[in-house]
Amino acid sequence: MLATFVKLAEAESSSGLEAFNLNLKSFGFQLITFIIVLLIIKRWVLPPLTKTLEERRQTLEKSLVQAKQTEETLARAEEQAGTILHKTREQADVTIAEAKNQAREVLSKAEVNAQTQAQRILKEAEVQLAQERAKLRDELKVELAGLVTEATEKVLKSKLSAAADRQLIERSIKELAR
Amino acid sequence: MNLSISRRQLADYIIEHLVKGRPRHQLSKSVAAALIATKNKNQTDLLMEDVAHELENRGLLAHAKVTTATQLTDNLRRQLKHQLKKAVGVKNVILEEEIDESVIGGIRIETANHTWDKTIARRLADIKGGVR
Repeated sequence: MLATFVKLAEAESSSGLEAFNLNLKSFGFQLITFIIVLLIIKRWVLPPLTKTLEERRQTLEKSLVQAKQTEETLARAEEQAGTILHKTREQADVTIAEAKNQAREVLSKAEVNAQTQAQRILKEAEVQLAQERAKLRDELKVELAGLVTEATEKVLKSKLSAAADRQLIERSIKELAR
Repeated sequence: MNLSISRRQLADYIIEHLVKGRPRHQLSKSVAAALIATKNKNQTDLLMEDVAHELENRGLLAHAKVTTATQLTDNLRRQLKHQLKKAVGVKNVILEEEIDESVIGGIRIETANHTWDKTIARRLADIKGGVR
């Protein structure tokens, strides 16, 4: 092949190629060199380079995909967090409202209890007072009856004549057979 | 010999013999002997009470203890005996009078089976007790 090329070069040197100032020999050698270099590069440089580039590309792609996935995950997580936060806020509001209601109920129950107790205490006091009054009244009655009978006894002892006594006895005797 | 006679039986015995008209000293001896034999010498008073009860129950005699603040007149005694015979249901009445000024006025009559307290002291006590 090389010989053919040289022949061609010689043939053309005598043709119009010299007009372009082109040295075919050196061009041929350069071309061959270029082809050799190209082959070397293609055989020993390009594959690893391609491989490396491919690996890098794949890595980059993976990274991009992962980044995208991460972004999506982050977005979802943010969305979930937002939802959870919202729900928590709602729950918190509900709990606060319930707690307020319960507190109001407890307060009103306590008020009612206090009123009921106060009324009960008042009633008990009234009952006790009435009992004390009744007791005093009874004691007074007994005391009075005692005084009256004592006085009556004394008066009758001194004032009851024998005639009156006989009349009393006679009336009692007549009542015997009834 | 271990004799066992109840007071009730003895009282019945006394009454029956009194009704029959048995002499009192003979009856007394028999009763005394019975009391000694049954070792009831201390129960003479109780026996007499039993006799009084039984006499009243049989309608024979009522022994009435009468308490007043002043002496009874004969008229009152007569009335009292008459009314007691009807009230107790006996043929005869014996009065045992007692003067007690603490009754103030009125009359209290106690027989073996009946009591009537129509004294002023009792009425005043009833008023006091009724108020309590």
